[in-house]
Formats: sequence, C-alpha cells, structure tokens
Amino acid sequence: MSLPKISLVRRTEDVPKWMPLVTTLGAVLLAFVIGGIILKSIGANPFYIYGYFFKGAFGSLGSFSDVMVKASPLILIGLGCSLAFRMRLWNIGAEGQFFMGAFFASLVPLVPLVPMETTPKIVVLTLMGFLGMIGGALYGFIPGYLKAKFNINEIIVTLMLNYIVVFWNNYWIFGKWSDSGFQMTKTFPKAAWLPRLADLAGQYKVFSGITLHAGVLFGLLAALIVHIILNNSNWGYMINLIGDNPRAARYAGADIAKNTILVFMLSGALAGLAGMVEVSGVVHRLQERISTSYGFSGVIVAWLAKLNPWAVIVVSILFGALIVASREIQPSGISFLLQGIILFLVISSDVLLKYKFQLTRSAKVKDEVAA
Amino acid sequence: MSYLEPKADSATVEPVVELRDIVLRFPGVLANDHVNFKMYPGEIHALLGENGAGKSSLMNVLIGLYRPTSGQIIINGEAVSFNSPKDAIAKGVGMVHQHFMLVQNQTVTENIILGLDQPRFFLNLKKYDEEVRQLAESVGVNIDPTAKIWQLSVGEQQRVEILKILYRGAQILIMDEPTAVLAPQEAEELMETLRGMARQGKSIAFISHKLNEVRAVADRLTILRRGQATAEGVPVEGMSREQLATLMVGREVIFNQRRSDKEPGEVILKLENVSALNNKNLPALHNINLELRQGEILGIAGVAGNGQSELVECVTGLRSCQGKIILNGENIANKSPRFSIAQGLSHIPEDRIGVGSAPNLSITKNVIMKNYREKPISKHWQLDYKAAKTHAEGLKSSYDIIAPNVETQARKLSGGNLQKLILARELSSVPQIVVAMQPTRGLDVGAIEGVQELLIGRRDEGCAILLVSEELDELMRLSDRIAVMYEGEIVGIMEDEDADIQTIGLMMTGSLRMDGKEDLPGHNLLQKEPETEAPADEKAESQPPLAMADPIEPEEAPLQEPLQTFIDDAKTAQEETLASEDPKNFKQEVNERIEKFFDSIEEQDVEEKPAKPDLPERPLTEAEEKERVLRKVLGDKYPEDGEK
Repeated sequence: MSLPKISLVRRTEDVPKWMPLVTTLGAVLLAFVIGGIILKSIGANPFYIYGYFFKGAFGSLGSFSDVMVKASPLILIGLGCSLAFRMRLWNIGAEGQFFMGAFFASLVPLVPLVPMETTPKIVVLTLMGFLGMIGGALYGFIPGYLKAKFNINEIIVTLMLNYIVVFWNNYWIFGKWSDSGFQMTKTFPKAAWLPRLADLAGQYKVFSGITLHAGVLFGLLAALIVHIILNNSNWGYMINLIGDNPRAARYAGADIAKNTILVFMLSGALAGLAGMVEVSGVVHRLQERISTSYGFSGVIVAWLAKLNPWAVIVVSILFGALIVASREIQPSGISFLLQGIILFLVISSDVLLKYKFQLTRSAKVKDEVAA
Repeated sequence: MSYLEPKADSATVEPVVELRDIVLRFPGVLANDHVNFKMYPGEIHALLGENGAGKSSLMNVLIGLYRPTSGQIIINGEAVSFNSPKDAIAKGVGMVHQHFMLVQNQTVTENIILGLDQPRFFLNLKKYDEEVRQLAESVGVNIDPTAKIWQLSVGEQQRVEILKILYRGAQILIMDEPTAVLAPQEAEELMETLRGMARQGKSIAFISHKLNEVRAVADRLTILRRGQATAEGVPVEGMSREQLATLMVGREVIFNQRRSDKEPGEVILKLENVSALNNKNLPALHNINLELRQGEILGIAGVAGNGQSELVECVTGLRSCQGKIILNGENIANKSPRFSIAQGLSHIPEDRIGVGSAPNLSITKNVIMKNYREKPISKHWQLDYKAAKTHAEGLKSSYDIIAPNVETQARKLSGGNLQKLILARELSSVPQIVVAMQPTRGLDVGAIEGVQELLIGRRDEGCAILLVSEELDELMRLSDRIAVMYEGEIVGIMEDEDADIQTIGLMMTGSLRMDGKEDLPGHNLLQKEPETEAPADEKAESQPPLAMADPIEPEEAPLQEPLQTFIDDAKTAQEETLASEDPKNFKQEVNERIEKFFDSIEEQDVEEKPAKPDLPERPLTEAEEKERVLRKVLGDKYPEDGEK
C-alpha cells in the first residue's frame, strides 16, 4: 500500500571506532563525485581534470613539497584552533595571531635585535620562533583575559583584532621598514631563513629547487605535543572537562579563568609560530599579504579534523593540495568549489554518527493486526 | 499471589491505549522485557518502579521517542507506528517531561502555540490568549496566558506543559515524575488537576516512585522491575505501602529511624555570621551560625529557595560570602573549591547533570574529576588513563553503577545511576565532611535506601555530614540534629529529642522561631494583615488548610485565619516571655500552643472533608461511566465505599 518511509532515528548506542573515519572519507569522496558532476555539466572531463589536479599536487617531488609548504602554517593554526575549541573557546582570531607572530619574529632581522652577520643561524631562528610564539600568545591573551574576567564574547573580540593587526603591520611595513617604497620590507638576511631542502642541492641533486622548509617539522612536533597535552596530561583532561561542562569543572576545583587565558595564549602561540614559519620559511620578508587567509582556513581545518591533532595534519595536506592544484587549473575557483563541497559534506556527515536511517512500513503493521 | 494479567473483560470496554509485549533493547541493557500496558478512558494509571526500571523507556515508546525492538502499540483499536512525538500527538498521546521544554522569554500562550501549523503568518495573540484561558478554565487550571515563563513558579510551568499538550488535543497524557520538582502543596494541586481531567474522560499515565502519591491519586497501577512487569494494571485500592514497595524493589524496604548511637566528636565545621547574596544580588543568607561535629548528620530543613543552595555554595567555595567558615581550623570562606576539596570536603550537588557531572565524558573521566591530580591516576603532569580506568571499574562494581562499561558517557546513565556515580566519586575519597544537597531527590525507594545507607555508613565512620533536604521524612530519619532555614536565617535547631515534624513545619513556613530572637522572620506577613480589606474568615474559606507561605513572595500569600491567630498568639507569647526573661517557659508555652493549634486544624479537617465539591453535572455521567468500566475491569475488586 504505502511506500516504505525513510526516517532518521537517534542512535542510542555508541558508534564503532572506525565509523567517524569512514564517514569522513566517504564525504570527501562524495565531494569529488559531486564536483565531477558539476565539471561534466560545464562541459569538462572530470577525470582529466582530477588527474591534472592530482599531478599538480602530488605528481612530482617539487609539487608535493609545495603542498607541504602550504600545509605547514595550516597544521600549526589548525592545532591551535583545535586546542581552543576543545575548551569551547571560539578563537577565530588565528589570522590576527598569525600576523602578530610574523611581526614579532620579523623584529629579529629588521630591528635587528641581534647582530645579523655574527650571530649563528640557529640562535637567530630560535629567537624568531620564540618571539613569534610570544607575539601570538600576547595577541591571544587579550581575548582570553577579556573572556575570563568580564565574560566578553571571544568571537567578536578575536574577529575585530584580526583587522587591527593588519593595520599595525602596515604601519611598520609602509612607514618604517619599507623597501624603497614598496609594500614590503627588505628581504631578511640569510641567517633568518629557515633551512630548506634546496640548501642541500649541492650534495643531493634531487633537492634543487625544492622549497620545503623546516617549518613542517614544527608542525609535526606541535601535533605530537598537542596530542600529548590533550590525551595524556592532567591539563588536557581539565581542558576537556571545562569544555564539556564548565560548571562541573568549577565544582571539581578547576580554575576556569586561568585556563581560559592559558589556552587562548597557547592557541595564539601556535598561530604566531605559523606566522614566523611563513615569513622565515617562504616570503623571507614582512609584507602586507603573507597569508592567503590561513587563519580562517585553520578554523575549517580544525573542524574537519574533528579537533584531533593527527587528523589536522591530514586535512592540512589535503587543503594544501587544493591550494597548489588551483594553480594548475583555470578558473582557479574550481578548487575553492571543491573545498566548499568537502566542508559541507564532512560537517553534514556527522548526522550519520548521531542518527541512523530506518525504513518503516506502517501499512504492514496494520495488516498484521487486522489479520 | 500474582499481580500479572488481572482478569479483564475487554469485550465491552476498549482500552484507549494498549502496549502489547513491548521489548526495548539498548546495547547492554534490556529496558523493557515483554511488557504489557493497558489504559482505559478516564483512569489514572500509575507506572511505578525504581530508577532505571524502564518506566520512562516504556512511555517513550508510547510517544514515539523510542522504537520498540518488538511489540505493538495499539491506540483506540488501531495499530500505530510512531516516528516522533509529533506522530503521537496527532493520535492524541502527549507527554509532560520531567524537565520542561519552555521558552523562558515567551508568554504562556506563545509557548503553547509554538510549533503548530496555525497561525501561519499573522499572529493574533489575543485570540489565542483567550483560547488558552478557556482551555485552562475547562480543566480547572489557574494561569495567566500573558505571563512570561520566567515569571512562573515551577508548578505553574508544569501547568503550561500540560496545557500545551491538551491544546494539541491529547486524550492520553503521560506525566513523567511530575511531583519530583514540586513543593508538597503544588503536588496536591497537581493531583487535583489530574483527577479533574480523568473525570472528563482523559487517561493519564503517571510515572512515579513515590508510594504515597500513587496510592493517593492512581486508580490502577503497573509496576516495573528491571524491565519486567511485576504488576500489570492492578487496582491500587487495597495495596499496602509495603506490598507496593516489595513489588517494586523485590525485597522488603526498611522504614525506620537511623540515628547515631555514638556521641558526636569535635566541631569540624563552624560557620560564623555568614551572609551572602543570591544570583540576583539580593540578600540570601543573613548571619548564619552553625556548628557541625564529627560523626553527626546535621539536617537542614526548609522550603526550597530559603537560602539552602546559597549556604551549600558558600561552604563548598562556589559562592563568595561575608563572615567566617572554619573547616579544621582554617577559614575556607571565599577560597576556591579546590582548596576545600583538599581539606577533605566532599560535595554532592543538587544538580546532578548541570554541576555534578560532565555529560559527554565517560564514566571514567567523571569519577576522576576530583582526584585526577593524585597518585596513582596522575604521575607528575601525566594522566595515567589505565590507572583511572581501573579506579573507575572498581567504583562501578562497588557502587553498583549499571552501565555497559566505564567508557559509557555519563549522559547515557539513568538518574539513579548517575547519582551513584557522583556518590562513588564523593564518598570513595574518604572525606572528613560531606555536604549533600537533595541526595535522594528523584530516586526510587531502593536507590534512596542505598544512598541513605551510604551516608549513615560514612557518618558512623566519623565523617561529618551536612544534609540539605526538602523531604522532612528523610531528615527526621537520618539527622542527629535538624536546623530549619527560613528566608536566609536559621530559625531554630532541633535536637534529637524535641524534633517533631509539626514544629519543624511551622518553622519552615516562618510561623515560629526558636532561637530566642524577637522578630518572626516572616514579620512582613504580620504587618500586611490589618491592611487587607476582606474579612479574615472569607479569605480562609478559599484557602486549603495549612496554606504554606510562598517563600519568594510571602506578602502575597494570605494566611488562613487560624494560622494567623496562632501567629498573633505566638507573638504575644514571645513578647510576654521575653519580658519575663525565661526562655524555657516560652518553649513550653509554644509547644502547648502548637498542640492546640494542630488539634484545631485536625478538627477542621474532619469537618471539611464531606464539603468536597460535588462533581459537576456532565463529568458525573462520565464518572459513572468510569465506575461502570472499572467494575467491569476489576470485578469484585472494585472498592464499594465509593470516593477515592
């Protein structure tokens, strides 16, 4: 009689451990399928284009290195956001913290804080990394403090601070350190450059022209540290507890104000380190455009990775690949289209973790009773 | 004697609801095991059972929140399959949940029409206000449709929930532990409303684990124990409290007094002139002075909202205050909760879900909430989850927390099991002092007994316990001393010998104070009286006997005349005795007057009983109908002496 009805039923049991991974991968796959259909409808051959995409991103050592260069800041920012989001602190100011980190790190070669010719490279870079983290942490301190002491909405504060730092940087770039009137500073001395694989081209020929820099190691190390903090430390337990129920955490003796500030500062420090990595590893100068909105992509990365530090790395590489591949294709909007579909589907796939589909045939039951 | 499948002649009387052979299985738990449930028009059918016995699960099946693993739902003779409560309400089945689902900033009417297809775009709120008013009148509920939800008391909010369901045309109402959140008086009013609705032919399923309540209001009952029915549709009449309790928990429940036979030890907690503000920055505590000794249970009695929560929060470090709170010689007032935890203070909070647990974290992560910094769970900065898991598994078995495993999220536990989790955490740390607020609220008889045994056990080991409860019975049974709070003050402390429930009741309602101070805390009541225009006896008639003063707005709760005279008397007596400066005399005098007062109340009760309003014309026929139905169903078990 009536057609079977599909309904969503809330899951009462725990989902198997493999389920989130499978639904996420499925969502990404489906995104490519939908993207393919769109490409087909505008008259292109999706297989050809995806092949090109893949080659553009992973086809050679050079292109893969480019992917990792793009992924490095994303990993650091994604980790910082994951940490804050675990405590339900909506830090969307990673962009600003990134710029502030870049600014603080740039102080070392631009002021200069140490004599650039004589100081060993390792000291210069350590100092830059340290200052980058300080810069980001200070910029994270502001919303953290306001949130902790006056309960001011951190979303608004972090969002607004993003704009302020751009103008702050511009003042120094245009007004003080401008490279003969251009919208950039002079190139940093070599001592302030992160080592790159290309530096080894003398010994190993394959590395010539490979731009991959040591920043990616910072990302991997940071992922390990964040993982340990969240899963193996007292502090991480408390972060999760405060995130889940701040009233219970207060009742259990947690100092919420202190932890709000600390987590915001650490989150900012990671974004600041990303800023240092970008100026020291890629652009080698401070300029107005150092970020292709890494700070905002980092928020998306954190969500797609479901706040899991290792997944942040994977998602960052995927995003890096999409950025690099977009160079290979015209219009470049195709890759942003794919980004959008992936984000949409991955977030929607959460439904499968909370609900299950069920077929119902209401007519059948009626018949049985009548019989 | 079996209480299953009582003989029923269903050929002539059709049940409005029939649940046939319902099985509901969750992973690791069989919530309902072949349960049958029938409801007839015009009856109040109680569902009795311990926490986690499957009462709420069964009713959630009926309203379409859960889908049964097997079994049938038949409503008015038609087999149905609900996918959501919306489907259920379309068939006239609605549920009032324990936790209300209301929008605080909207009016009663707005809440009632929320989510309906009508009105489509333009909202003529006045028209709907009128509809709601008429609906409320028709079921004898008194409510202002234009009031905002946040302005209403809990009892009134519950009425809104009921109206919400009635407005959607429900003939079958499910009330999930409706009295758990109500003051005794509100509970009484609710019962009256429910009886009225039953007289109009509606069927009401009443989930509860309060035996007295069930005996007072229900016609028939179904009892569940661990998912299975131990009684199906048995008439309540003639069942004793003990019988019900046995069917419910499967063993005899002890109702007796459990006072300590040991002398209490040294003072461990001392409050000196503690004052504090509430969340609205209004004074909530005035100069509280209390002493708590080792090995005693100090009960705090009082109607909800008289400063008990604030008192507990001050002691546990969750609220700032003035004055001194001395624990083990250290002033812990305005120190962090962590400080008092380190001093050996355990806290069983009133709000289990909102304060006592982290709902999305596992049992393991919930039980280590307070000791995660200590060995062996913590090694320096590191948290050893294996050790934590072992700890949790130990507590799970010794405190009998029913869950598939320790990785289960806390939000998936039933109320009783969640409370066991909290008790496990708070009592296993071998505390010096336990502050317990409403530790048994919402629990079933068996669980209540378990909680009380645990508290008594700790007390006997020398632990000091501050027990805040609104259940006077519980306080009387457990406490070695009882302090009564009214309007943020301790109005008297009763020692073991002279504690009687009536005196405490008078102190709770602000009619008496026994700490030798001059003013009755509710003096504003006395001042207001002469200004009222209506003669006192007229007012008295409209009031139920022993009206309790509303704790929040006492000036708006007119007192019954005999109570008023009594207060006047008490005040004169107090003045007289204070003049003669002989407090002992005063106490005697007061006690005599109390007795006299209660004698007069009792007499009045007897007189008033037959004066219960007769059933109105139309519902009477329905009541007759109901009687006919019940006679059919119950056969010779039908009580011949009429009115219940």
